[in-house]
Amino acid sequence: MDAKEQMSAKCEVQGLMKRFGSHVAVNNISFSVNQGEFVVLLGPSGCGKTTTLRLIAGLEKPDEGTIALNGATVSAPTRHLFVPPERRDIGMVFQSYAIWPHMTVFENVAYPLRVRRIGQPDLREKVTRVLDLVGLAGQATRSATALSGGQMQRVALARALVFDPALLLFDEPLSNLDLKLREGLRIELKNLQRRTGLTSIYVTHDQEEAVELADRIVIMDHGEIIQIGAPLDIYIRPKTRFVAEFISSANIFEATVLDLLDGNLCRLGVDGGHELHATREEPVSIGDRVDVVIHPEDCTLAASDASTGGHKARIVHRQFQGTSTRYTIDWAGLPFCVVALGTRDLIGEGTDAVLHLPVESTRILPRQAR
Amino acid sequence: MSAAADTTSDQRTQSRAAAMAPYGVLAVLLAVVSILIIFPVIVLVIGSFLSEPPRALHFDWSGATPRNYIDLIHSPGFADLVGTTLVAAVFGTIGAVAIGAISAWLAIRTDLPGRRGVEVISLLPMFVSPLVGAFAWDILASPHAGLINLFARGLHLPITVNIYSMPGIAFVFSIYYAPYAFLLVSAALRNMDATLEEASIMSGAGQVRTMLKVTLPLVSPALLSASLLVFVLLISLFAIPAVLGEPGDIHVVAVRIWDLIGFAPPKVNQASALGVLMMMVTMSLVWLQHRVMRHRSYVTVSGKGLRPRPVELGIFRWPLAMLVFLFLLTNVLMPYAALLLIALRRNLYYTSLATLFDPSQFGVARFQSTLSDPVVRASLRNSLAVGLGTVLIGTVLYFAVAYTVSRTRLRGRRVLDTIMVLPVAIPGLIIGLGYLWSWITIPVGLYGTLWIMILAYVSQFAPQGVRSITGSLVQIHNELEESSRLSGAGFLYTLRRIVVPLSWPGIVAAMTFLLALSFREISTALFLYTADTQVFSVTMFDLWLRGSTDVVAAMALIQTAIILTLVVLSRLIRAGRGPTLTPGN
Repeated sequence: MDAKEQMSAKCEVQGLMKRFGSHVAVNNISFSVNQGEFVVLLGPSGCGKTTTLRLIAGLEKPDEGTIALNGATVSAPTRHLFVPPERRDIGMVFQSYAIWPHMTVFENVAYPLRVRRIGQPDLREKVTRVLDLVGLAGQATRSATALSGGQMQRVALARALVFDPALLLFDEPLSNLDLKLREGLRIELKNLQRRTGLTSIYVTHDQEEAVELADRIVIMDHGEIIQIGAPLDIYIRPKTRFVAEFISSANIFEATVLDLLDGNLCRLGVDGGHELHATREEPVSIGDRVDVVIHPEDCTLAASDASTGGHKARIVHRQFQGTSTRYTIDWAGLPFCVVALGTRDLIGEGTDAVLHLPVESTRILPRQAR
Repeated sequence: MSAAADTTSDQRTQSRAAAMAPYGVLAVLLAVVSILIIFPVIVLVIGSFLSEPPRALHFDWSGATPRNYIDLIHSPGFADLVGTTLVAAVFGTIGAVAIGAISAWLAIRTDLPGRRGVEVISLLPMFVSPLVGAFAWDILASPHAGLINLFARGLHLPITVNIYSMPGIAFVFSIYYAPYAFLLVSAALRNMDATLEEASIMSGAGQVRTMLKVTLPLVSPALLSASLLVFVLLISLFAIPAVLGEPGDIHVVAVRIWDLIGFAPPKVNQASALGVLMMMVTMSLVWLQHRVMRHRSYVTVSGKGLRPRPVELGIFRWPLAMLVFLFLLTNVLMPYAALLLIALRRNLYYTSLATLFDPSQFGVARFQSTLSDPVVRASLRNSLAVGLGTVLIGTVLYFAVAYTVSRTRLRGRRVLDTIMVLPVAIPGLIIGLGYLWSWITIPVGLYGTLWIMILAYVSQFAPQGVRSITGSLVQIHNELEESSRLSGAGFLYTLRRIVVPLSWPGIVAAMTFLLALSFREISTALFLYTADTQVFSVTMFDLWLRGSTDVVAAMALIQTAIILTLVVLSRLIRAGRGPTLTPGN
């Protein structure tokens, strides 16, 4: 697979625009995908992620901007340049699987090779190899319509892989499968991509899927890119309230900057009257209204008699979730969530407790976010 | 890397041409359908203002005058003609919608025994030509020699039925156009959200109240739409009034148009003016129907696939079933029994029941002689040629249009769609008249050939053809096509290996159905045939005019058998795929 790795291409998108009538589906987006990288386009439905993918595939024509594959421009409306999908050397796995019902598994997978006029011994060998790769060895002669959803998705993947494309695109490929199957295939998919080293772009609205699969995530909303980064980076440092809400179930609340302290810290006042300290990674000034983000699993709760310092709170609701317990608490009028691991030291509903907010996990969202 | 970069420049030039190619195809399609559908209509309208009949290369604008219209309106009996046409169509529509709606309700929404059978039998009259129906009812119920009257006399019953009357014609109209109402109303009933009715019953309303207050209002747009559709078909219908109206001195517009051209001296210009007037009426009604369906489409509902709870008929179950079947079978089977009786008899002289059923008089000789008659054989050959030509040319054109309209986003594709549905509002007679004008005036050797009929049929059947092929195309998920493109296949390769194979059953079913439609068509051919190009229906009508009832009966049965075979074949091929096909008039 070493030779393969060198052939994998870079995809570069610059200032891409796509309108449907008066609706701007994709609004001036730019990003690039490095060789062998797995990039996930993530966002709610209607955010333009699928349109972006289809623009890269050549299934839609952009209104503005350029798309380059492997350094060669494939789409540039200002220069009237548009390479049709069949000449872009891109493999794509569709949401509906798009398995042709009038062909066998073998014929489905062999199709791209037949289009390329690959001769018989070579064709058979390639198809067999790729069917092996996706775990469909021995299924070649089956009718495509007799397959389960998971198997169809494997056939679709085999068909996209068989001609060694420069780039692999996935359009919510797992969304039609049930949860168990989805989780299994997700791991397989990631392993496969690591082994083949194929540059991939993957569209999903499922943040869990994105976090697990991606080398980098591109978060989109209303046709625009909101944030690009490694999953962990986005989780810890969401750029906007939208990203924080979409990627996690973080506590987000408004506060006023009261004081700037040493060591990148600051003192904040919350509407309920109490104060807290937070890390400031972006410049803020005294008097600014800011959004504060704290992940529920970074906070701790303690029984009120067993602890000093921290903030006074009251447990409103406790929900046992197996390995963790989720508390909904009332922090002086502010609803707040805390997740505690394990089952030790449970605090009962309706009792008072002390909330600890570690300053390094208390982050201020950048100001353009608001 | 460098290899990929090098290909860019040559990809660019190729793709620029490729980007324009779809619009080239669209332009060609637009030109073709304009020539096929719009051009003849325009020529006809112009012709209706000219003072001379169509002649090769002769188009005298200077003589343009509204005279034809003025003469027409002032001609004696014009008001009667229009009145009769409207009255017959109104009563025919009322009858057809009543029969269609009641049998649809019984078949879809009740626990009537044999519901499926009601559905099949109700639709049957649609598949045989109204011309054949008219012949059969002529044999059955003409005032003197009609078999029903013969029976009545034989049984000493004091009744006489006269099919050559306004009620008679309206009755035959009703039977042959009830299936259209059945289709629309049954679709509305089937798609109706069952919970709407259940909510009414849960609110305490009874079965009858629910039916009147919920069900009926919900299907009322379908009823209105069916009424308009049937009315449009009936005011332009030629076959039934030509056979049953003329003997009783009941004249309608369609038959008058034919009279004006068929009898010396031919008044083509006046006929054209009458045709244009008729077309204006049908077009406004179709436009009205379109608006009705658009504004009240909330009825056609939430395809949740919930089977509505059937209405229990209780003690009326069996009596109602018997009544319905008796009615339907009488209307569907009796005419064929009559045709068969006549076709099997050696001679047509019978005055009493005893002589009618004299066994020595029966034999299949008539079918043999009919099938070996050179005129019949020639017309059968012509019909076959016209049918195959229509199907081949039509299918290619309809497929191209259906694909362009439903699978691309080319600007201007809606115009194509609109032109192709226009013939819904243009009676076949008018298409024929338009073709007559156009291709006599432009002498490219089309007039007098089978080709002119093929092209006229292709235009006439465009709405049904495009709709049925669109029906099978939309079942193919876009991504099946897109995945082929991304596999490296070009447009034509994808069409050949993916789109056509996947829609093939639907296409073949549509082709078979078109063949049936073209075989039974008469009004489109009425002004386009010559001695050498007479098609089967026209020959049948011609022989009937000359009084050869026996040969006509045999031909009618042969035609019906062929059409039914084709329709059943089409259904089998489709086997539950796609929407039900509906023929036009």
